[in-house]
Amino acid sequence: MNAEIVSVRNLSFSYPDGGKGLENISFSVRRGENLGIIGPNGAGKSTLLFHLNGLYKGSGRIEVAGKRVAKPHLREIRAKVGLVFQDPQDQLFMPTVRDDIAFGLLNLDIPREDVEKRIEKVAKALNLEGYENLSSFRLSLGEKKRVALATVLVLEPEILILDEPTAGLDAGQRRALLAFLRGLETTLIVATHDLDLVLELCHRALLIREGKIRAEGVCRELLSDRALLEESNLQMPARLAARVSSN
Amino acid sequence: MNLYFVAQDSRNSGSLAGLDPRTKMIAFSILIAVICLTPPTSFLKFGLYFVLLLILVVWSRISVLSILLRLTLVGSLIVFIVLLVFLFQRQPLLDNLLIVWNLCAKTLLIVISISVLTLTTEFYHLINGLELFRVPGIFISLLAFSYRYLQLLYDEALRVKRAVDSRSFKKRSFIEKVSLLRGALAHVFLRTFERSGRIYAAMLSRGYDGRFPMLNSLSFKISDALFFFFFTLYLLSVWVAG
Repeated sequence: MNAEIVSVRNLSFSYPDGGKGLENISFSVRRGENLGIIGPNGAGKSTLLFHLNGLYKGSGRIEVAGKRVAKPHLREIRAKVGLVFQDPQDQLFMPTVRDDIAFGLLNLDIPREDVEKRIEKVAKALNLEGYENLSSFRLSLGEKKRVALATVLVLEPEILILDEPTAGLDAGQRRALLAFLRGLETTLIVATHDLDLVLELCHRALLIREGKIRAEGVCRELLSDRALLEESNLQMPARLAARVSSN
Repeated sequence: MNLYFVAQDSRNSGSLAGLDPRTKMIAFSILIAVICLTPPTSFLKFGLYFVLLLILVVWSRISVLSILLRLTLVGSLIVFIVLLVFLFQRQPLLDNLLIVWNLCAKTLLIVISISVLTLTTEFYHLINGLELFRVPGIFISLLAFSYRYLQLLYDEALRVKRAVDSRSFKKRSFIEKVSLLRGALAHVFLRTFERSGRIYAAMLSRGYDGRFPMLNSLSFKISDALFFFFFTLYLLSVWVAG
C-alpha cells in the first residue's frame, strides 16, 4: 500500500462574514490514488481544495507530502500541489499563453532553457502547439481550460487538484480531457458534481454537504446509493443508474 | 471602448515597437524632463518637440485616434486648470495666458509622449523593463494589478451591461438610467472584487512572490543604440539652437 501524500485532520473553516465553510473534515489520500470530492453547489468543495495548498487557512492539521501546510513550507507545497481553478479565466493573467505557462516555472527559478523545454512538452501533450504566442483572452472555453491545465501540469506537481474540470466543456472536449487525465501518473483530487467523471476516473470519493463529510467510500458503492445522492441534489451516473434499474 | 487596445496597438506598430522597452523608457523620460524644463516663452522648442513626436507617431504607424482618445481623458483636467488660473490668479491677462499656454502645451506634449511609449510597448514589457531598472517590487505589483483590475472591471461591466440590455424593453428616462447605473456599478465592483481575489489566489498557487517573471528576456540591439543616439542628438540640438 502506498504512503499517505495528503492528510487532513479535523479541518474547520469559517468565511470572513462568519458563514460556516467546513466543519471537522478528516480524510487522507494515498500516493497515486484518485479521489473524487462530490457534493452540491455551495457544499464547500472548492473551499476544501483551497486549503490543500494554503490559500485558505482553517483550524486543524493538513499535511502534504510530509510537510505541514503552514507559512514556512508554502513555497515547497505549492510546487508539489497543482491547483486548476474552475474558471480558467481566473487562472490566466499573462499576455500570452507561453508567458502564462512559464509563470510558475520562472517563480520557481527554473533555468530558462528548461522552461522552454517543459513548455514545449506540455503544449504537445495538451495539443496546444501553435497557441504559445496567442493571448489567452481570445481562446474558446475549452482551449482556456487546456491552457489552465498546462500552466499547472508544467510544474510537474505530485498532486493535481482539479475544481470542476468538465464544467462548460462539450462532449468531445470532455472525452479528450478524461483520456488525458487517465494517462497521468500523479495523485489526483477532483472536486465536481459530474459523477460520471468521478466514476470513470477516481478510486474513492468523499461526499460533502454543508461543509461536512456525509459519506466516504469506493466510488462504485458510494455512487450506487441513490437515496444518498438524491438527498444531496446529485444524480447517479448514467452507467450505474442503468445497471441499478435493470437489477 | 476596448481596454485591450493598448496591447493591440503595441503589437501592430512599426519600428519603435521593436526596440527594447528600457531604451524607450529612458529616452521618453529624458524628453519629458526636457519638456518640463523648457521656459514657456520658447515657442519654437515646443514646436520642435511636437515635430519629434509627430515623426515617431508616423514612423511607428500609430493610429492618431488612439492618441486623441488619450488626450480627451486629460481634456477635463486641462479645462479645470485653466478655470483655476483665471479665477484665482490676480495677474494681467497676458501673464495668465502664458501660464495657461505653459500648462496646456506641456501637458499635451507629455500625454502624447506617454501615449507613444505605451502604444509601442506591450504593457508587460514595460513591467519587465521597470523590474530590470530595479524599481521597487511594490510599485511594479501595484501597476500590474491596477492594469489587470481595469481589464476585469471592463469585462464585468460588459457582462452587467449585456444582462441589463437583454431585459430592457423600453426607452428609459435619464433619472431611470442614472438609478440603474448606480445599482449596476455596485454590482460590477463587487463581482470584480471577488474575481480579483480568485486571480490572486491562482497567482499564489503558482508561486507568485511579488515578481512578474517573463520568458522573453530583453536585450539591447544596435537599433536601440542608434535610436537613442539620434533621439538625444535631436533634443540636444533643439535645446542648444532653439
